[in-house]
Amino acid sequence: MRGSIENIAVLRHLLADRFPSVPARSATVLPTGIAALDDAAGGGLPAGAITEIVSTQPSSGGQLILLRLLEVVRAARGRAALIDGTDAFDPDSHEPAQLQHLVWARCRTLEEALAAADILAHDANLALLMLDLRGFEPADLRQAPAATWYRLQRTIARGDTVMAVFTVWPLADSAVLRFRLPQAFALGQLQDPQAKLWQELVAEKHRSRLQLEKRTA
Amino acid sequence: MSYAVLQIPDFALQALQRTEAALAGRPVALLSDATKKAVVVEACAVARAAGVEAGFSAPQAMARCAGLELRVRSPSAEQEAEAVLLAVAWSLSPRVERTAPGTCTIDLQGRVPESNLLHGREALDRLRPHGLGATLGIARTPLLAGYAASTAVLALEVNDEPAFLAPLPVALAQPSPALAAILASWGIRTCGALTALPKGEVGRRLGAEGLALWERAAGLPDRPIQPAVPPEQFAAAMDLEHAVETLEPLLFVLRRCLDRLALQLGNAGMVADRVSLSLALVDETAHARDFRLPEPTAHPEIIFRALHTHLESLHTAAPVNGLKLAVVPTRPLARQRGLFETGLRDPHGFTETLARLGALLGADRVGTPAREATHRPDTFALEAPPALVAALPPPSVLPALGLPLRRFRPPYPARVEITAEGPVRVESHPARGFILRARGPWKGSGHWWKPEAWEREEWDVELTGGGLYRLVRLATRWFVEGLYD
Repeated sequence: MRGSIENIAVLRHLLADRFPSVPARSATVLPTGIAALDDAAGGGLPAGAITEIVSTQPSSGGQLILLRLLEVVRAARGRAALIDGTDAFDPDSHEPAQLQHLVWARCRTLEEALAAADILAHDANLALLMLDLRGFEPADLRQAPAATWYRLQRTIARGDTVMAVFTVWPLADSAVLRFRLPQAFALGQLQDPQAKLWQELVAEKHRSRLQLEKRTA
Repeated sequence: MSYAVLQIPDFALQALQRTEAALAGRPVALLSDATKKAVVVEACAVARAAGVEAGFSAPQAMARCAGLELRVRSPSAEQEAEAVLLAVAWSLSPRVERTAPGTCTIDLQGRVPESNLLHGREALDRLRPHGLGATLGIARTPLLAGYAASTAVLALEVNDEPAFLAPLPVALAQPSPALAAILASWGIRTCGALTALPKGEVGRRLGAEGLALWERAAGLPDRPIQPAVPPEQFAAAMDLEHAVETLEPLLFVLRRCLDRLALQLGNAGMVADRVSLSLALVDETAHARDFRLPEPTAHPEIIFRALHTHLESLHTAAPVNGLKLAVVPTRPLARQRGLFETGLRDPHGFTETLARLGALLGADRVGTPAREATHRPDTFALEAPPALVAALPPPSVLPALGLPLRRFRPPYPARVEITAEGPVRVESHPARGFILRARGPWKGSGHWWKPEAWEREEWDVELTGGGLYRLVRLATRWFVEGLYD
């Protein structure tokens, strides 16, 4: 294992020497204010990379993270886009002023959602791109070719857009970070302020290629 | 005083060629009309090299050149080409005369004489991307400038008038056929030979017509030009001789029109604010669409991208046989952005993205959600994203509570067991099992003054296996409306 990591590092150095014009990945992050994410991700979700958030339980806080990301980008007056795979987004759950920056793409099929992601990933105006695939059956999700995720990653890496993919099943092979949300909220917590829920949200980091890069650099 | 003449040789043919990409590099001849007795009036260089000449009938021309493309004149194409020529001429001077089809005379008064030829050549270079090859003549009078344009390979400035005129064929002075025959019988073939004769003697023998010809051959008559008025409307129209069913030929013509409009906008110091496109179909219907540009621009590439994106997803019921393009101009923005203003990085790219999403999902499924003036749940409108994201208003005094909802659209029908305390068990596709805790009911109703009044009862429930759902009872039927997540 150690040897393969060193080989990757050597390969990266070779590529950097051979193609010096290729921009290095941006080091900027989008702080979410959710302790479980920011602490594990080194301050926030990385720009120019895909972060996958896997909701393994219903009511485990995936939509809360989505809402929080929208708020953070809105506060900075950035642009956000939501590719809503199964048309599940509820504008009533948000203050209207919090959605002024949002482009909501209401999809019906997985093909539509992935095609919309491909279109939006090329737009340099977006600070945040969210792809919500949670309503699809796992069997359908497995139909998405792996190349799709690598193409998306390559496209996103050209800019500084933060891309978050919400799934119920680990799917985005090219994701730099992957979090699992294993713990469901209880009914009583629907009365709690959202700021409290951010702190109580449990997120387990299951993949971090950022760390790998840091270690091998 | 000096004048320039821009002249497009084989104007009708060039005007037609520039609207059909398929004609590039091919032998093309223009017929006088569409009847059987039509004759060739103009032929391109490739056709001429193959032996096609003016005056040939169509079969004769085809016999000389097997791959010859025969066309008839297109008034709309000529109008477009004329507009391009004038737009380029107006970039040299505001006083431009529409002298003849494919020819315009430009008053260069006020310009630095030494730079006239240089700027004239630049004008020729500007015409070339529009598919028009022209010649330029610069001289003291419009007539001499016209002679220079007719004889120039590309551009010619006349400084020594007698030396320039002497070898010119007398036909350039446009004698009548009878007069031309007399001069030929005298052995006079050049302007120099004619003007070498005493003017009075020529007048005595050939009359007033001969006298006028002598003066034209000497380049004498000067005349004031009649300036054309620059267009106040920026519009283009093109009739297509062959109806098009594919995108490429349509885009080709569209780009030609757009380039010309951009040129005119540039001359007027304006930019496009909105663009209207209308496609005429062979079934005598039309497809029309207005485009509002995210930021006013005169850049044809940006406007073209917006049109291209729309046309890519357009399916018409019949082939297209004409198009109209109109631009609503506005003054260019001359303000500097604020330091903390967060406009779009690439407004035109953003518009293109939205257009492509609209084409993929449907225009009614992309946009920024806006709440409607009703308390009815899940009622909203999708609006076009604003050009500028405004600063957030002060936060609400009451903090936002709980988890946001993920809606099931449409809600799943459910079977719910209910006791006096509330629902105890739910059976539906997304939520199945015993209910651990429940909160409710929250009753809502509205639109009582309408026949479609609504009345509902909501319950928030937590299942024993985990998961917070919203159950809704409408009359006697239950639904799972969404998942709190």
